[in-house]
Amino acid sequence: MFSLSLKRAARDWRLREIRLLLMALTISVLAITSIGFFTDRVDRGMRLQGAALLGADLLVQSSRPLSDSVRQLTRAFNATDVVEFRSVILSGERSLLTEVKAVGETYPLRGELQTSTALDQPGSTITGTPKPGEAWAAADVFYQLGLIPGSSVQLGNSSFILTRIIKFEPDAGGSVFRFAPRLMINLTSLAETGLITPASRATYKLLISGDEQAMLGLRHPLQQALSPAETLLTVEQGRPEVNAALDRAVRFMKLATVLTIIIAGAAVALTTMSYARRERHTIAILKTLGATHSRLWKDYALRFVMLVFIACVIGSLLGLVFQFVLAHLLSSLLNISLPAVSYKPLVAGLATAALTLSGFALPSILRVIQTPPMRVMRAEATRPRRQVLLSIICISMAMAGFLFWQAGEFELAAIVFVGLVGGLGLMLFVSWLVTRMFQRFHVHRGGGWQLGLANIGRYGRRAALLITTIGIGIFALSLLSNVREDLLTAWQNRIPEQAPNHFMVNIQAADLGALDIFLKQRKLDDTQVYPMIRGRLRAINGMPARAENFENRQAKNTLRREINLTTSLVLPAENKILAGHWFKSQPGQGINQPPPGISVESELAKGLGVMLNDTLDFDIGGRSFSAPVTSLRQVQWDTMQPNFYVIAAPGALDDYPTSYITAVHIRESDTRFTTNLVAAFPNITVLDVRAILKQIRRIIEQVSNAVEVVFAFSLLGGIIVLLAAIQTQRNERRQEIAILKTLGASERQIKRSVATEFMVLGALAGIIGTGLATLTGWVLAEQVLDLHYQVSWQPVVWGILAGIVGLGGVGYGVILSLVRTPPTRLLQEF
Amino acid sequence: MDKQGHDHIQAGGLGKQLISGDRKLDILSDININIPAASAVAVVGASGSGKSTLLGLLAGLDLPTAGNVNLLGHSLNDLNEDQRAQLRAGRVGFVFQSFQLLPGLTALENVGLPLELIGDPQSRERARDALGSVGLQDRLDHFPRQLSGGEQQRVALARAFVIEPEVLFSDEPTGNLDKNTGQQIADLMFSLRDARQTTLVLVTHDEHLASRCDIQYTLDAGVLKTPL
Repeated sequence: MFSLSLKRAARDWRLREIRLLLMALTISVLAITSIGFFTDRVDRGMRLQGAALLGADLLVQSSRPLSDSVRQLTRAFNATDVVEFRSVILSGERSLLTEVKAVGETYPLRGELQTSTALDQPGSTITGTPKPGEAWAAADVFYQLGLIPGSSVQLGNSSFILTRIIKFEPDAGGSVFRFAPRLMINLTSLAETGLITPASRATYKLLISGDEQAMLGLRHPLQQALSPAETLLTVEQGRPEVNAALDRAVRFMKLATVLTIIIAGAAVALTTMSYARRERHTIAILKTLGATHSRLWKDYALRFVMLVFIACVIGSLLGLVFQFVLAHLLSSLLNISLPAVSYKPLVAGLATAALTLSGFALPSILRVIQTPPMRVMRAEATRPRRQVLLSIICISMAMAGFLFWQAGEFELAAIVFVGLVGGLGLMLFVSWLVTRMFQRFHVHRGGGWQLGLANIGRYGRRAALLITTIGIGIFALSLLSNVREDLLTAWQNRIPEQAPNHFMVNIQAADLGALDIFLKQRKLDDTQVYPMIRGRLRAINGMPARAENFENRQAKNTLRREINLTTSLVLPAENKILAGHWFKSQPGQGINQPPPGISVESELAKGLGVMLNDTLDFDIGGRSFSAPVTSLRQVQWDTMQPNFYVIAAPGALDDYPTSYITAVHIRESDTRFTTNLVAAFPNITVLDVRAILKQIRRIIEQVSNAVEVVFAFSLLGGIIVLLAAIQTQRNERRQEIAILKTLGASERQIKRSVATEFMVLGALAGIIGTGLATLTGWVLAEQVLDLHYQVSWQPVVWGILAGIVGLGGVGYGVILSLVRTPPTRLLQEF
Repeated sequence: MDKQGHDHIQAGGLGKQLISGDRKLDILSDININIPAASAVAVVGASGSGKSTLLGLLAGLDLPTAGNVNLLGHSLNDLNEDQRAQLRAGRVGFVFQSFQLLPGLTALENVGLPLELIGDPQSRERARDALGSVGLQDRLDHFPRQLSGGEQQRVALARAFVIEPEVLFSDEPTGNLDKNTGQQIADLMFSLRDARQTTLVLVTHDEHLASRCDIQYTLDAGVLKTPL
């Protein structure tokens, strides 16, 4: 029974519409699979890179030796222990407080440890850990104790020979601040030192690694097995700088995928409309001969299933090949070993093709199947128009489906969806308005451009179709390009070339003046110095605050350790007041007056359930400090600046033991800075974070590249839309141009008329598309991507130009293929 | 299958009104017509007189705004579009002025189409025979665009008669053809009809062609005049 249906379907391949439809569907499958395959791998790969910053895939941290339940769960995995504590080392008469790290044989499980054997040598990757009896130390240990490699130091009951200089430690910790330089020993040497007793303050870590699935599977049971003192750290929680960059990149890629599909959807909608117009007559004949609706449905369903299948096969194969090419091309830039391809994007590809077709093609097919049989005799016989509403409902549902499915988060999806639907509505309204406006336009002299303008008024449906589809294309591309631009700029700005690469801590008040001179001599003028006071949060509104009473990880962590407090008269850059007021300077206020308040980081406040006007009580070196919360502050953690959870009003902490911290940018060429500084100020600890900065910059560079590649797919989608527009307009204009030519219109008149019409419509599509994209981009940047949005006229101008050039190109394509063909042939072909 | 003795088509008080902007246009008004089985009826009228609209209503391609049509014992007003299509399938044939062949199908496939719609397992063989009966046995695999106007109309005739229809509706079958070819097509159509005693409803402005029918009606501005 279906033999003719199959034949008709097979012969459809000769139609340009079907080929374009296949191309558009293939593009959406290609986008979702290649971006899916690629981002899936890059995402996992970058998480591995993130894992390097943690030194593991998962990390359990505790203030006590790790519980048996944790050990039992992790027995089957690759795991190693690390114990960290502070202790003084002795070298002859001199002593130095160090942060000791005792590491197991297989440390680090992820990332690389870099060391050197001479102080002025660059670091190189080393496998293995210090042998028993040996210790590796940060350059500061050597500088401050005046030692060279081969010297020995005393730690507790044991003596260690310093054999290597630690240049880069992957898991330098969640914060770049360390108060004392690192000393690394073998875990087996730890017991002999006699420094670790049940009462000693140490941090016990268990580093765990394994394949991705196993790690995902382990997370939950591990979380359940943790004792109150234990915390589980994952890659996502490892480093805020990396997380923020990764998170935004993944969000951008998801957005790009959805928008590419929507652009391809616009092409599908366009070509299906053209295809449906062609099919109207066939359907009328079939109905006359006795075909029922269900029979016709089956016919078209068969065709579309074939289309989806073929698009899926081609798109997925291309996607697979393309992502390999992509990964290969970027391998030097990506610099990460990508994990194997997963099958998941294939399923997504199939679902995408099916959803794109049903969402964007269904309205036209639904309508064309309703063609009355009477059309065989009267070409004007049509059903009442319900297409516009139906199309909007179908397309909106498809877009919503894609957005919520792919974006995976409500806010992002909702904002883009509102932008798109609002855009559709606005475009239809403007089309109607413009059509009405041009209806009053009269052709006086028969000039080509006048004819073109008059045509906009005469063919309202056509104008609406072009404005809407091209406008959606411009909207999507413009939105992507805006957000992409913002992302790249924000990333580049966040860690600028001149970002501080050396932190100086433990600066004593007495040294401040001399340090200022020291820095100024090296042209490091506007360096901000922050007082730093270590305190432990003890009570909130008079109620003791205990870690076990809080669910929030950050709150727990904060309550278990000392945090850094500072004072400042000015709100630090990159900080934003979310509630309350920043301190007002009060002249004459002395240090004996009660402190006016503190400003607390908003996420921490949320975790602790702290609100404005609550009173926090800190234990600072055994003394109490109480102050009401006068403001809540948003902090950009992904900057390389000293950041603080709690800032008190100037003067409020003057009575407490204070050291100072500052950060400076030292030129690569200035190799003697650290040596000179330490020589002048032996008490100051210098932290060289250049390696960390380099690592973060590399990650950002990788994601930026991925973002650019993903954007190229959307552009490809845009080209298909233009091709689709050329095809639909070819069919639409064939008869019109033939008649104009028959009536004596010159080639020049026709060219001008078509060009004028398309360029005016293109400009309109550009204005609405970019206008809406600017608005949506602004909301998206501020609300979702957490970026500062730069409103500028430039993208709008580009969008309008793109509309004019794009649709102008379509017009040119149409004219090129039709204007030279004799009118008789044009009429025959139709 | 009754070939004689009953009316195959009965129409009473038939009217068709179209709304164009604010105006109501009466295309057809108060048409009463009975077409006996195996008869050949012509409806003659000038362009725009409503001939094609009447043919569409009698064949159930469209519904009237007034009155009713009874086709092959079924009141068309009581049937929905699908039921009307099912009624036509295998029982009603059509020949149009502009041939109305599907451009994507060959001559053989076009002729086999109505048989496929009724699930005839012999559709290919019967279509081949039908094309043979119109003298196109050598053009089976040609697409419509590869055939002349006359040949296309022969294919359309083969498609109409392949199901051995009880009723054949024909709308200006020679309108797009030159005089000689038109004559040949008309001869072929009448000979096929005569051989099968098919009820024929022919609308045309060609009085000569109409004169070959048993009964002739004239349609003038939507009003049907009594048979001549």
